[in-house]
Amino acid sequence: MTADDSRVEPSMRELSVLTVHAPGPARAARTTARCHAVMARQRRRASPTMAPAPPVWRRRLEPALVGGLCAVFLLEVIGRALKLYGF
Amino acid sequence: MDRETELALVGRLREGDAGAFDAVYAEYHARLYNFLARLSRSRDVAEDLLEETWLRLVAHGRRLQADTRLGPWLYTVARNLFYSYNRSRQIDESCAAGLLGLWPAGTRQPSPFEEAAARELERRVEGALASLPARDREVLLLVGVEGLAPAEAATVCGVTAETMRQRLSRARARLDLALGRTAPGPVMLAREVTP
Repeated sequence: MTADDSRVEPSMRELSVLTVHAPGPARAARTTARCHAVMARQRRRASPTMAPAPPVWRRRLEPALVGGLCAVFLLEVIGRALKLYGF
Repeated sequence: MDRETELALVGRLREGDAGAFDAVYAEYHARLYNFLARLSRSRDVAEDLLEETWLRLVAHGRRLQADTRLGPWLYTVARNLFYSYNRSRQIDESCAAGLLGLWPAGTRQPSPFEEAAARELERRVEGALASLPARDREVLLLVGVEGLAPAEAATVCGVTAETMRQRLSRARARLDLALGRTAPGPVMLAREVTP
């Protein structure tokens, strides 16, 4: 007997009498709504953002400004720590 | 669903097309629900697992392989979710008898003899199926009810074709036994004495 013959066995044939039941319509509607919402979120994430890109000078200035402020803060912290320990 | 349509739907799912999702949903929703309900023996659990199955499809839709077979993919996810749920709840297989009567008894109005006989047969088959271990139920449902080829069912269950053939043969013997048709054969006896 081949594997495909197994589907025509009497016991397997009897499985075809089983009724196909439908899930609850309210739950089905909730499921599709959730799936559509997830797909919509994915589409929004995948599409380019609608906000205008910042100008080039701002894109370059911002990291430099933040980096400079961080450096000043760090130097001040180190200076105060050295003073505190008498160096 | 023919293979060409299926491949087109997979392509559209990879692009995030909601219409493709609706088409796949319409094709498989009831089938997956029946599979899960008979596997879990609970309609509530089946509905929860079914919703999670669809959410997994949506979440992984863009990462599907172009040649994905949607049926086996969905049944694999549904089956894995069922076993994860089972592990978390530690459901005892021996409680099958108390869980029979999963579906409504049908119409309350008097019916002709043939209809009554058909319902009686269905009730017996449903009961026999529910009394089997989950490993047997899944192969019978996949091959006998859902019409998957044994090779596809093997993929869904993560076993080789030969293992699937053996499991199918054993499950059929157990179903026959549960239906009161035959005495346990050598396969059953061999299985029962194996630890």
